[in-house]
Amino acid sequence: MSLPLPHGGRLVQRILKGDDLEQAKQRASDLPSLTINEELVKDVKNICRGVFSPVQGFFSRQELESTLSTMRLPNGDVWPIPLLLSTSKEQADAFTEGEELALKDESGKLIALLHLKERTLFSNERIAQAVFGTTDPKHPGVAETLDQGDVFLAGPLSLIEDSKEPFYDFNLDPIETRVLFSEKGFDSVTGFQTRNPSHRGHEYLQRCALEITDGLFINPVVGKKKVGDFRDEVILSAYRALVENFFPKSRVVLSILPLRMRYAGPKEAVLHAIIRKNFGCTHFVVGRDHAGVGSFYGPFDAQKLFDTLPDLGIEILKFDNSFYCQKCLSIATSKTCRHEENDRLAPSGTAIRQMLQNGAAVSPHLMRDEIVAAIRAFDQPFIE
Amino acid sequence: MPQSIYLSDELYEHLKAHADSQGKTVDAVAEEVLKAGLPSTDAKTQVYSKEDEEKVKDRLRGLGYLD
Repeated sequence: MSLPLPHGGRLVQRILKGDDLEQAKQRASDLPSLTINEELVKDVKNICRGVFSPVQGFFSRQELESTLSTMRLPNGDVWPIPLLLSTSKEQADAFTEGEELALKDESGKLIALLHLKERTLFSNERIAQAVFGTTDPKHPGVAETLDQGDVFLAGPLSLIEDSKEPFYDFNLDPIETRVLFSEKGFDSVTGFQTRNPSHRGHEYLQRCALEITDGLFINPVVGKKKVGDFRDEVILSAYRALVENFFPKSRVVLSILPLRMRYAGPKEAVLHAIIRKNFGCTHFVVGRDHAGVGSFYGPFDAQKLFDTLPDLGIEILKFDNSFYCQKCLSIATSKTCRHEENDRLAPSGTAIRQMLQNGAAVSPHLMRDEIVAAIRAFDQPFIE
Repeated sequence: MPQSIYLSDELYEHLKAHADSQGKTVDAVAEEVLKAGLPSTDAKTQVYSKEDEEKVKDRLRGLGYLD
């Protein structure tokens, strides 16, 4: 086995440098501008850094139609969720196809240039139904989609603002992980996505992955959170406690990924797998209800969707929930343990969060003491 | 000599609709799409340039990822 080519065969790099960067900055002051929110800034940076290779910009109507109807780009590459820049008709009318737009964040900082190729009107309901499988506004991704403007600006991007924030020291691009995996001599690497500090169930999956592949790439997603979620700095600190105290240094790489969470369940799981393929992973862990929310998706819907995509180019490691079995005296899953439900301690993220919030003791069978200590080192580990 | 490949019904229908809209044959459009989508021989072995690789290694060393 060897590290895979990026999705679509080429690692997209659309970061302006040197003279090109200076000229773009000068040009931008005379260009029409559009303010984009924090989540769109992440999409822009991820497109330009190759996280979403082979995508080079926001989707055209043809790309959007193709993605929604076939889950593929027009050239046939698997692609589950369109990357869109929405705006109102009034705002879109102020722009001309063929011109450049300066994209700025909410503080007014210049982020990127959009080379505007197309403005297209499209039904947000249709997008929601195809991406999320529902138009129920109780679904947070649907609510956001129905709330957005229905004119979409399409075209390739060029990144101007390339600062590695947050967490400069733990924020690698795909080109960097690819070089790193290669230098470490990995021929196979498992990508592990997470949004929480590692409990013993997560660790079990990570160790299983290390038994299968040369390397493990722990890639916590950071960004917009809900009240009660762990803060990003807590997640990173807890993972450092695990990686630096327990895993073999030569075989595990920890780096965060600023990424918009869409809660699109199965389709988002496919996007997450493509992203890790672009980082150089050969394998990707998909557990129960990956990227799901509420009860909108079945626990194994994401795993089943991968069965229909044999040309995805990354192997999926499918797991059920794990637990501590008080008779086996180890972490196990229903595949490896014969005992009854009441013999099992399930490391539920919600239950562990409540124990931590209430100052209660957390069993080391659920979460390692070192990780609990790393979390409790923060005065306020949760989003308020 | 032309070779056969197998596509899902869904992908074939998508390809055919695209070909019809352009007044081309399915074969012609399939060939165009494949040529445009496949990496060149160089890209298969070289995802990044040697120059980029050295810059990346410097950053990775600076961050402690590489010794």
